[in-house]
Amino acid sequence: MSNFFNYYASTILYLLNLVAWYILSRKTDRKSVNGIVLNYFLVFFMIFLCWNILMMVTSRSNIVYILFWSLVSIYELFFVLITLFRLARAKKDYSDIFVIIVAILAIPIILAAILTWTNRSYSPINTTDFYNLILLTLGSILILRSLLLQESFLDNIESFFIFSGFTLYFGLHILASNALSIDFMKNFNFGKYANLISLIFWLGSVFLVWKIRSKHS
Amino acid sequence: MENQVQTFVIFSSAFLIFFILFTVYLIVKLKLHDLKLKKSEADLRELNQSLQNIVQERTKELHQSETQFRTLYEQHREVLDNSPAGIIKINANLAIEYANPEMNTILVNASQRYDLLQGRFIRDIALFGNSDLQDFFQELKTGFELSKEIEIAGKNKKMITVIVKGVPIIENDIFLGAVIVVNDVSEIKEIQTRLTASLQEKELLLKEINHRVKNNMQIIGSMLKLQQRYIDDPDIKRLTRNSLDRVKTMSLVHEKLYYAADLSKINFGDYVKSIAIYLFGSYGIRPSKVKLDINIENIFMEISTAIPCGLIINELISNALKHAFPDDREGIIRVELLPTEKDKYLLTVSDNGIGFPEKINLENAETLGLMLTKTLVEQLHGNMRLVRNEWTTFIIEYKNVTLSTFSEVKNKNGTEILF
Repeated sequence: MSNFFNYYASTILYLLNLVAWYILSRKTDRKSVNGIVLNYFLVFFMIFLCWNILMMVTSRSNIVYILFWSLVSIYELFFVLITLFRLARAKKDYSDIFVIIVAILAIPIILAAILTWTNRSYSPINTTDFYNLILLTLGSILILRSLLLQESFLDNIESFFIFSGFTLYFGLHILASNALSIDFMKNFNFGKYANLISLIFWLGSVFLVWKIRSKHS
Repeated sequence: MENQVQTFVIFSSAFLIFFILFTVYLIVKLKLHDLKLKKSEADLRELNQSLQNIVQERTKELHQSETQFRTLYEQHREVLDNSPAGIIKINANLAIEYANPEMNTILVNASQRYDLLQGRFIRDIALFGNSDLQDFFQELKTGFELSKEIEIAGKNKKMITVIVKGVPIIENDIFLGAVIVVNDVSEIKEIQTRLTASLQEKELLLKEINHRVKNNMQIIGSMLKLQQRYIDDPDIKRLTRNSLDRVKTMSLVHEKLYYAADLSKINFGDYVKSIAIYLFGSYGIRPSKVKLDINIENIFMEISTAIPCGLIINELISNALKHAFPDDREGIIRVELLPTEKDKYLLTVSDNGIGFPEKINLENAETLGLMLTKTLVEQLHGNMRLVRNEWTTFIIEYKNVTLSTFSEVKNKNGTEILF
């Protein structure tokens, strides 16, 4: 049952989300912050779609999992950071700093992946994931705050829903990967549904965004 | 147990999804509403600012207009307050809306102060209650400007003459009121009366002078006539008669002036006719023998032109009567005077007698009559030419001269004026 939800159902939801958000993103200005966020978000779905398909094809291969976990973790950091940088609208070009930050944050992820592979234990991944997710959650909250303070809030509604979903997604994953706190995963298997909950949220968001857009356009 | 937990987890997840989704949606809606409010507020602020600008602009314009109006009002008020004429504005009900201070002077006898006139009906004011003005104000309503001269009791109960002039205010054929201007013309009236009396006196004196000049000339003529009786020499007798004719011609002018309505001008046609009749009588020529044809339009001439012109005609007719029709020859003497252009005349004296002697021409004429004629033509700034054919025609073109141009001629040529 849980496998079904984790792979098949989530694959379908990823596909639906990809199509729905792609349709939604067609009317958006690609060069705006909102357009960039939508583009990266679609790439995020595509990565996950590949991951899920490969997991199903390779019968949950460890190496596939570790590789994609690393890729997704780095991509999520990149995504949140680039959005924060864009929203900061700094006049100076901070691309060097951005690359350095992403590179520094990627080091523990790569190390955790290597350790997990060599030690045959998911503990390094879970631990790194936990701290990463805290950073990503905080980053998402900062993005939401920044979006709310923007004068052009109406132009960035899609981004707002996307990062609301990400806050939920990262928050739920903290619970799923948290070995230090309430151990929610072990007792209730709640963490397993983090992806599904977020995907349903994003799918629902499509309808709400469409509704708001049709009212305010 | 595990199934129950899973079902609980599924429902909890669904609830969580919708709750969070709904919350996000609410946040978005609230934010949009907030933005809308902010935009409306900004719009309102902008509108308020533009309204404030408009109000400020209008206030400024109003202030300027008010200042202009006040200046204009002050000027008009000053004009009205210092006007030498009494001015009243009445409304459609003939009640006074405004009266200027001069009305006080005019109404002083009635003890009615001008500033207490407002609101009173015009018929209640003593001045306008005058019987002569009873219909005046009613007629004003018809829309015509009216003016009336009346006598009222002024200061010290002395009668003064005032001219009451009414100008109706009509808009869209509706009588809205009128402006009444009252002018005290007593002094002007007095001066006018004195001037009229003085003029009448002068006219009388001038008539008297003309009469006396005429009488004196007649006396001169009578003396010349008396003297003629004692002259045996026919040449001297002729000369004396010529002088007598000339004196008679001049006295005729004064006679005409004495009887004329206008003391400065005479009817020249009548004057020429009188001269001709006199000369025909003087030379004993019967009108049946020599016919006289006078063609002079209704021309009135000043004395300064009429006398020299009359003397010229006298000389030329006398000349024709003396020489043109010998041996009871019949013929016509024609006198024509036509105006050519402004102040210019063309005088033609012609006869169909025996003709002017070939040996005599105008330039070297030595006879007194022709010399006199030439001099008189010069005095009139004119020129004379002689045309000889079946008719002997003297054509004289001259300008109407005034007394001032006469003295100019005298000074320039040193010519003695003969009268």
